[in-house]
Amino acid sequence: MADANNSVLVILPGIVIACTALLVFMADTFVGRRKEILPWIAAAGLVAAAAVAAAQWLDVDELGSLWDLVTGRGSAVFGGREGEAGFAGMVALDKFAFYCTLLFCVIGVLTIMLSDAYMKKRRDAMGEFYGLLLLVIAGMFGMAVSTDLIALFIAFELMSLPTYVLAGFLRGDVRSGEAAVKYFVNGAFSSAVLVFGLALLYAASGQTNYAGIAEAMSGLGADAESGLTVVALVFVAVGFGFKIAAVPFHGWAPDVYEGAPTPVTAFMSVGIKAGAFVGFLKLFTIAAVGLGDIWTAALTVLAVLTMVVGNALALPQRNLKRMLAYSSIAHAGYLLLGLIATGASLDSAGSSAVLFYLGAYTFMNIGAFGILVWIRNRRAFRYGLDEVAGLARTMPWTAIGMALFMVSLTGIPPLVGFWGKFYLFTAIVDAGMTWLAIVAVVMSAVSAYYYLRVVWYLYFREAPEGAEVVADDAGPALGSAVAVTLAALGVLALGLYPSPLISAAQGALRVLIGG
Amino acid sequence: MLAPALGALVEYADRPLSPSTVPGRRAGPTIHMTSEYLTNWFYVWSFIVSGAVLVVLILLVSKLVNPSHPTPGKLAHYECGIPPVGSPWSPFAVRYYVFALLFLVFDVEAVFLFPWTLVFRTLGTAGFIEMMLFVAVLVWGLVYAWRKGALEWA
Repeated sequence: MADANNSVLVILPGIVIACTALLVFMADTFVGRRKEILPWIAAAGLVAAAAVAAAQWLDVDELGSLWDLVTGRGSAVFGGREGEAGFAGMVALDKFAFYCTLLFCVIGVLTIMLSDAYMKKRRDAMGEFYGLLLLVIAGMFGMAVSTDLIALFIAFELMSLPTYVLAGFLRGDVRSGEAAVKYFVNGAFSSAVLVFGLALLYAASGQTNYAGIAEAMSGLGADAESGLTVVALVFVAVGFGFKIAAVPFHGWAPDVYEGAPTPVTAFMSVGIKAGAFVGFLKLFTIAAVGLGDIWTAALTVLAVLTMVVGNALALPQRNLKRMLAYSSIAHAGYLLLGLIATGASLDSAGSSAVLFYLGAYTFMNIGAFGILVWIRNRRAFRYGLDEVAGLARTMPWTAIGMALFMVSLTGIPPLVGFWGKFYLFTAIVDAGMTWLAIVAVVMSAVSAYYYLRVVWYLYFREAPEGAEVVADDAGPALGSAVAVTLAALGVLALGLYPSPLISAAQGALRVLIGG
Repeated sequence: MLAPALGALVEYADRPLSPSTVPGRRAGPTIHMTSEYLTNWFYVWSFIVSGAVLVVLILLVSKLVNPSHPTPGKLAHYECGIPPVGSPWSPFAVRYYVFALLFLVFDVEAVFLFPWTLVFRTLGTAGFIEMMLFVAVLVWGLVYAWRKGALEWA
């Protein structure tokens, strides 16, 4: 109890987000018809959380050095140390968590803006939507700060449960209901496998704290790599694989991504993936750092299958939402390379490449889904590939945006997707697994087919009959337009000048690994 | 991969437990885990077996010594005196689920409140404040349900 105040400070950004969620829920019942204020409250809460996280890292007289702090050059510290642990070591706010908090707040704000077009037609459900979204982000924050198996699992569930509701948000729509049920059943199953793995990890080490597990494992010496730890880490990898939709645990993803409301799909493909990756990155690189051989082997199988199957299944898709779902699976495969590189070489380059890629992927993928939301806001649209044919003539700016995101997802310079893949593939080559990098590059080349086919349809195909632009009943959704524009600017700016983000990602890991 | 893993599991369970391998365990003589396990499981199994034997025995004896004169009235399904009407698989009002959800609010609260009262003095003011915050969040949920009209039967 002595460190109660201190502990509260450590998770203060998460508390701000969770309290904002409660506020949104309650405000929903008081504002009557003026529900436009709810997204503003939610966004303000996220900005406040980001500000709290930033302020915690700054001494008052060092306000000017925020930039240096973000880029990892700064000397600003939290509570006089590099990181601050709270609740008896259950959580720790360090530079890694700081980077992730900022990333999650950006994802959240972009999603809130993106959902503008969507929520205008469903004003009654605004409170639930934004409240649940904030709760998921609070869970993602928990994933980033957890340094204990129990805290990790609670954060994992907090991140998962509201997402099931969000996936089924279109009440009365059969596909949305199917998405929610499929996601829930698969998610509950994966949670069970995960918690079984965590329990076995505890059985093997007698500790729930990450540092304690690592210590107990190194104390065991050669005995540490027993069958028990193999089973434990494989189970943890399975639970993690479900959440990031890695093959062969991807079965739910296409149906869920297609059935869920598009802003939710954008959020799931970016936010949930980021939350899962940062949580398990911390678990694998701190707790299981001495068992790198085991989990690297498990993740290598996942990565190869995910890259090959994800890209291969994306090829025949003619529904854009489904195509992006399979592409999202494939990108999870690329991201796994960073974790594998860290496990194989014990170098932080792979993990910082993951952090960088999560930032880059946020802009690319939210932008791509945002374009779909925007087109649907402007005219009848069922996400078919044929429906975007000739879009360059009727909606030139939208077509430019879509082309930009598709090219960036392919990984063509000078856009940010190229740098993301560049750092990931460099890390895996440096870790001595060149064959894996070759698989990844070949599969990237395959992905060019289905990404650039969209661009081909946009510019070199004739528009189908009756595809005129019609104004939406609810009027154009400015928030969605702003979100897509910001994402496009992010893709361009970080593509031309990626060094701030990459140095921030590297700075975030200086403490976490080898420190 | 599974077969060697299982083999290793058995090997692991069978390993001698020295104080250094189990953190938090007091130093003591090395115990062989298997024998300790077998002793414990022996009691469990004897309970299971004797329980099963007892049930079968009682049913058998009652079957043998009981006079049997079945009539239609005796064979009817009997529940609280009234003969059942229709199939029990009838639809029921889905609004009951709201009450199940609201019940959870208080259920979880009680589960957490009881152990708290036992250590109330030890935790002191900080513990009191934390518990009040916890209760406040749950009350917040109840007020939300109230404002949303979940408490009205309509």
